[in-house]
Amino acid sequence: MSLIDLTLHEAADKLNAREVTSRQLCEDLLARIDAVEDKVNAIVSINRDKVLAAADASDSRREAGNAIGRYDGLPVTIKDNIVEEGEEARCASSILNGLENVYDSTVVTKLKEAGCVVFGRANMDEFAMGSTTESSQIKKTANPHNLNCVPGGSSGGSAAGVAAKEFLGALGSDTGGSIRQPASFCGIVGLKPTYGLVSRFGLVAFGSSLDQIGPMTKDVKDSALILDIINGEDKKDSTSLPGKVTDFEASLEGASLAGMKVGIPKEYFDVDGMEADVKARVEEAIESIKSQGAEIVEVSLPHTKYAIATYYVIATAEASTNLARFEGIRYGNRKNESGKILDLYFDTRSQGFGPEVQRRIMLGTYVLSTYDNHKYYHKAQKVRTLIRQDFEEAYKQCDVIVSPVSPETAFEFGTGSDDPVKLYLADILTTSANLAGICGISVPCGYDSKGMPVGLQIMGPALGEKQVLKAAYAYEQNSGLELKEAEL
Amino acid sequence: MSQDFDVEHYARLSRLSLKEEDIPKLKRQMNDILNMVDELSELDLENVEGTNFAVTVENVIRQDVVGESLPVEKVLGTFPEVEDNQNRVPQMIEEKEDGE
Repeated sequence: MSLIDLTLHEAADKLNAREVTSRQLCEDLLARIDAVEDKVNAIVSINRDKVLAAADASDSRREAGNAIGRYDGLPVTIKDNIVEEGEEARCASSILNGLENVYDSTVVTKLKEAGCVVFGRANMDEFAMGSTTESSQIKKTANPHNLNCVPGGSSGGSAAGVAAKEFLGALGSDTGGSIRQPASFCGIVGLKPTYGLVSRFGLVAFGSSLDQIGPMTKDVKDSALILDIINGEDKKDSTSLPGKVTDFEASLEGASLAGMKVGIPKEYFDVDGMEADVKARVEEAIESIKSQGAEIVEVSLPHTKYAIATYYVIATAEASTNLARFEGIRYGNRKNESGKILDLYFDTRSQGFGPEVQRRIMLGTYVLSTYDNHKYYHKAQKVRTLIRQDFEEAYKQCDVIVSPVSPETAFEFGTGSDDPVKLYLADILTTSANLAGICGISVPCGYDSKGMPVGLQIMGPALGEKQVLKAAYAYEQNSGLELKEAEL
Repeated sequence: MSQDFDVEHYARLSRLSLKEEDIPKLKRQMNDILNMVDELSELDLENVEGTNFAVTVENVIRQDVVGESLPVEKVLGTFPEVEDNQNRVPQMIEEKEDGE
């Protein structure tokens, strides 16, 4: 068995048992990258010397009996919108070319404090705007299960790299489904935590009231392991929740679905574009969950159909505000041929941002503009309340809610490139969790007729991660589903 | 409902310059997006409070403690153009021609 086949928790066990070293783990992964990265294109950058130096430092600590703890030496990859000192964080855009960051994001600080090796940066949709990773200005990431298909997005590099065994585990970010949907498309596990559980300090902001960093891993236990490391209150993020939650991984011991109340929202199965195979696989998963002793409850989330409109008003309003700082004055790739200030703004932004980012900035500018402010923005905030209340009502009847992650499986490149609305509508099953601030996980639940992975979404109430992880873990362990590895 | 998104106006407000040949397609795409967003108009929202942040957090304040700042040389490296330890930018306020 090659070390690239290990999960993070297996690697941690082997490190602690002194059966492997961090350098061996990293070298095997680097060799894997050499073998498959030209097909998958998951990685934006990786500094091999830095990786191996961090691995060696970890090995020396363990050798001397000073290992920091269970996670010392584990390699974890980060998405390109997460800041690390001494590295660019380009967000797969050209507007940030050449900006070497001078601080660590809180998640990177926490990884480093735990002894983890930051193992390169993963590709993404530009500024996390997209669901295919095709809007990356850096490279085109492929789905390891079929290289002609998209990996999903926006955390497509993180998902594809984990599925292709180039990374043991990765961090993604989820504003409207950007962890869960690519996890679903690539057949891995992806968790979007409750808003505020993980600090956003050093995550380049897209939609500040929606963004969350979360784990993307080979199995459920690994997601729990990463969440144990990265969660917790942060003085540098005033929206982070107080305290720290511990033992996500430990709480999985003996997890069972018996007696758990599992809500099925009928609205999530009737959406436009729902593929028959996706529906069938998710219904089979629900049967399995039922046979494991869970009580199935029908619940209603009546404002689901408004989630996309609400999301695209709020997310673009926040994005247009957040992205105003990329004007070529303070940092990044300044374009200034005429030497005039207004030209500098226009040239820097027009040449730096790609088409999807430009569309969303314009939409956000529009919904926040004086004339139409009340028409859309305030309406969307009110509908957000209704969507949140839908979940509050539903969780009075159940512990977790189960649905598909996406109405479709991974499709071929270029499928939606000319029709943004078509791509937006496919986010219908994931955006609500961000609007409501709750948590959700994507777990593999089988394949469509073309062999592409299908994901099962399990959503929990705010801070319901342990319940969600337990349900996902029990399903994963007991469903009898055979997962296919990507052949590369 | 049919929409008529003023692409050029909102591009200007967004500090984005458009290529002439891209405008018709962009206008169509933005109108499609607005038609989708306009679904919100069918709801009666009279007595509904808006949500800014889904998780309610009390106003977070902290002591104003003097701490170490990042070294100047390090921060200078993040500026697009540096002159005398400062971020050099183009002239912001233009002089009037009669010297006022």
